[in-house]
Amino acid sequence: MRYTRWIVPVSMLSASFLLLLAYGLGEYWLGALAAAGLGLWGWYDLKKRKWVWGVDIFLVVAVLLVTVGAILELRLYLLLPALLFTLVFWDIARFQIRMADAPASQKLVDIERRHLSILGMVIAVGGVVAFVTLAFQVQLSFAVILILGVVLVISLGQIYRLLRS
Amino acid sequence: MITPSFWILSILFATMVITGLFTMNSTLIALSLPLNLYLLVAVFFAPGKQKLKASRSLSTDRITQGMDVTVHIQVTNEHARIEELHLSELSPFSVKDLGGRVSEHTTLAPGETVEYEYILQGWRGEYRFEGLLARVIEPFGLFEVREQLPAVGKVLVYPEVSNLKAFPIRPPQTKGFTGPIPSRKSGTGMDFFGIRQYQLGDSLRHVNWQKSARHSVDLFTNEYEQERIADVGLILDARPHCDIAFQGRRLFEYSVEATASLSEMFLGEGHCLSLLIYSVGIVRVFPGYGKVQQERVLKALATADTGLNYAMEHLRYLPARFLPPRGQLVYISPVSSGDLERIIRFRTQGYEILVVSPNAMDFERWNETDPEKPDFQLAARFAQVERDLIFNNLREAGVQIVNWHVDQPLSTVLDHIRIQNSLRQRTIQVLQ
Repeated sequence: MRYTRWIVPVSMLSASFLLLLAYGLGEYWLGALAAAGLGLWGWYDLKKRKWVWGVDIFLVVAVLLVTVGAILELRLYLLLPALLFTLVFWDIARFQIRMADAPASQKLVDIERRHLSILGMVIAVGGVVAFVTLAFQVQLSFAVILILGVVLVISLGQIYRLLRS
Repeated sequence: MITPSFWILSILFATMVITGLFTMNSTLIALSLPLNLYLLVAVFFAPGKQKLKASRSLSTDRITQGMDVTVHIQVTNEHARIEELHLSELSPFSVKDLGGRVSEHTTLAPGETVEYEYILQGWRGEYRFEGLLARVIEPFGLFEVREQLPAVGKVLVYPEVSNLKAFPIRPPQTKGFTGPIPSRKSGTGMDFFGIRQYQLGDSLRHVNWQKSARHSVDLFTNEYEQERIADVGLILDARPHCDIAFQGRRLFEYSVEATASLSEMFLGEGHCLSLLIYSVGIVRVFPGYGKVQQERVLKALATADTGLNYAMEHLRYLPARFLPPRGQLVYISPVSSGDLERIIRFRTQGYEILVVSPNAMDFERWNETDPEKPDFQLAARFAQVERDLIFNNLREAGVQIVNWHVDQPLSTVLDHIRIQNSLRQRTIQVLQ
């Protein structure tokens, strides 16, 4: 785990710090406290690795903080990287758990490298798409949003059916 | 198979989108896009039906306890590329892992093969490798396909066999082939058997000239005792009360080791040997000779274990028809008072019996944390008195006893008895 070893703590601390900063700058001290608590929890979980759901809890809390932050209209250039770092942390931490009992070998390095390249691509493309969407906002009527919502629900249903098959 | 991580991320994504829709906050929808892309890429890479071919080869399929066996596994991907493949044994086995990799994590291109091996060391028994569990996971770990790959194998771990010197036995009946046992019949042999009148055709080398000189007409010739092989029946007592276990060590293992060593000794001398394991059922190895028979005996002993069957709770249910008539019986058991009646009945039926008894009390004392405890001392004395009484009764019935203190090797104990017996015979000869 040559590459992923340092990515996990860095991404976790970055996500927590960015959330703390976003809530702090918006003077929502309760949210800032929650972000700080999240960072501490993430660090504790990283050191102990006692609970298999530790990384999932971090993801859920971080995404909820981002959601609330977006509703509270906090700084988006802090929330978006925080979300991306959270996703990186959650993915790499789970990858490390999956590979925990794998002995060091060239194969493992290959898997790690390939995993990181795919993840990097997804995060980069996701970040750019989100940024572009945030930068160039289009006003939609409620009816269009409703139609888009229906399309989304149908799409999700189709994906679910595809996965079930 | 969808992993819980997929549902967690999907719910979070849906939460962001639905909240965005309800609050009419487009920022939330935009922020949910990286999660959406992550999910879509996972769906794109989601593994379908796999075509994996696995094979297993073992360096040997039978080993003696303490030896190593190398397990070599080969898995070939005959389908699309696999991003993450986790291979592990389908059934966990309780053997000592000495090196190598029991599981493998790899990535496989179409047509590519992965090979790995590990070394195992097992206790006596039969170990079956059912197959491999292959977990095919897409890069993000949200989808997983589990497949059982048939790669069966079996290893038999034989009990340890210690070299024993020939132990003298005198069964009432021997077989027709030349062997090491005095047959109580005159014929060609080494030991002097008696003198009879010379008959035409007798070798002049065997004429007893001293005796003949005392007679005016008749000539006398020496007779020698024929040496033959015998029928030996080993009975291994595997009833639950014959076994005591302490921290992974079992008294029954000593019985099995003794049976294996004795079988090797008797077969090495050329005897016809059969084995009977008195356990949940009666496991029987039919009479036979030589190395093939030794293999059969070891195979039966490798899988021997104690078990309870109320129909076989007492030794008196052991049928005599399973045993060689008027042959040598070797009963390997810690011996309980309930066995006395049947053993003595065997004697009356014309069997010569040797009892090899691993000392259960020694075993307990050996494993006891505080053997000087008064309660333990008292219990040990009672048990010793009972054991002495059983052995006295057996000796009176003409049964030869080997009281095996399990902290000593069986060969030492048998040597000691062999010396005692020869001294006793010498004393009897001198007195006569």
